[in-house]
Amino acid sequence: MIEAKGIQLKYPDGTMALNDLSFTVGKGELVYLLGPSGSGKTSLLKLLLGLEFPTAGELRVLGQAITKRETNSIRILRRKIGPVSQEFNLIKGRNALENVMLGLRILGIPPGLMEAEAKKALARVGLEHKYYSPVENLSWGERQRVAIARAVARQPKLILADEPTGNLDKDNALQVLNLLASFVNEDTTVIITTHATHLMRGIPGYRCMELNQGIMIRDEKGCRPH
Amino acid sequence: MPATLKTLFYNLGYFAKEVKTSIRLSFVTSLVSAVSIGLILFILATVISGWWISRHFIDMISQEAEISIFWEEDLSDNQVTQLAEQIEQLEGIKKVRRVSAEEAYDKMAGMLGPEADILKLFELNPFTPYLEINLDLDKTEPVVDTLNRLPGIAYVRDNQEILNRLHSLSQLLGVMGYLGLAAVALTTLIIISHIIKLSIYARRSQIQTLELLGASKGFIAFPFLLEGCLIAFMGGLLATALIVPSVKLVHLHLWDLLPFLPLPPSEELTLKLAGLLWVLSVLLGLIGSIIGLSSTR
Repeated sequence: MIEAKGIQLKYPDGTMALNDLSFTVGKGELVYLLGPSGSGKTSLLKLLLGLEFPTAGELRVLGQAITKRETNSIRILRRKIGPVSQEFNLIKGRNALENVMLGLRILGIPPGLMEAEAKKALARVGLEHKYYSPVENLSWGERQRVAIARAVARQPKLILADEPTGNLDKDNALQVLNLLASFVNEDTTVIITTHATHLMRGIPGYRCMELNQGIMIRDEKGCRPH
Repeated sequence: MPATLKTLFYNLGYFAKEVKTSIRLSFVTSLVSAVSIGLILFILATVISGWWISRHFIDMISQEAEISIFWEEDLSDNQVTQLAEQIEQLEGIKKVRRVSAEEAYDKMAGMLGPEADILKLFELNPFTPYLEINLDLDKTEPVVDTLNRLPGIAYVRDNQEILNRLHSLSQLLGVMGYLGLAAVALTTLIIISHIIKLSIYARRSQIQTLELLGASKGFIAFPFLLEGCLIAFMGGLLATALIVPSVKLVHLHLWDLLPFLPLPPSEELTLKLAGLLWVLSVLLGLIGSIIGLSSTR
């Protein structure tokens, strides 16, 4: 699913965001990407989404090589990925259903089916009563669940969540982490970057990859929080 | 159906909603832009209608290429007949016909139409008999030269001079039309590309989200293209709403003042102008949007 061989990401100002990372991630894995701020977690997710490009090494995501520039293949790759971020990236002025449908529109799904799939995804995250609520009227936790619904409605092979609990209180953060972990199955891999290591308890079978200053310092299965 | 077209087709409602939202968010700017485009298109339409009317006028006059010959008063009836026969032999002459003073009076009355009463002010028929000559238009100059040298001819009246003047006027209006078109195109492109840039800036976070979700460039750009076309088209509609009654009014006044002026029918003229304005506005809106999009990336 993901193959990285000696990847490096160096920004034009000389900052080495990632250095010589090699790893593979298979189908159906739950991976926590850990590390302090500035350790390279978000940079790695950007590489996986094709928003940044490695300055050295080889990277393949879902069989697609991430090379030097944005191509149509990279945009097609993103359609197979469900992105979730700390800022939610929801469209203001639109309701929850419209936001979830936006992720499906890009795939060219017929309108009737699109609405049904979006409602199903919102129901999966427990927001079946909020279809028509404008996102501004939702709580932070609900907004994040809308973003998760938008990601999973597309039945992605890979869910990439960048600090999904960053804006949430403890209860909501736990709920969101549990929710994301629940989408792991034979076909779907979930990668979550988080600082909330104390909330990782109770989610079985996960893998921890820890970065520090762009270098992988830990990669183990069944890891325990610090 | 190709996947991209299918995606665009399924999402037409969404794109329309996006355009509506965008215009609502910057309503005053969009309105001012549409009105500005409308006014400059109206000015362009005014010049173009002048150009078309003059061309029509010239065409009509050219089709009726004929000259009139007035003979000297002391010529006898026989001599006039001989003169007509002599003229008929000249190269380039198609037909020579003798027009009596009464027929000349009737012709003018016909041209004046409802204004013909003005002729009743004359106690006597003010018209004199003449020879009406149909000829090849391109032979006008040598024929007139020859006629002026023939004995017994007092005066040759040809419409070459007026044709030349009208042709010059038409050329001038044509040049003004092209210059106006270029100026309008440039101004519209600047306005539309600017408003699209503002629109892109206002919705940059939405664009980032769409990029994150893997939207194609076409999917992201389509609402902006629609927006640019719609604003320019609204300008086109405004220009049409202004030019149609203006043309009808001017047409009516000209008809009253100069009933013998061969004007094109106002319906035909306004229909052609409306078609031109609509096509032009949409085209300029599209190009302006593309410029706005490409200069923002």
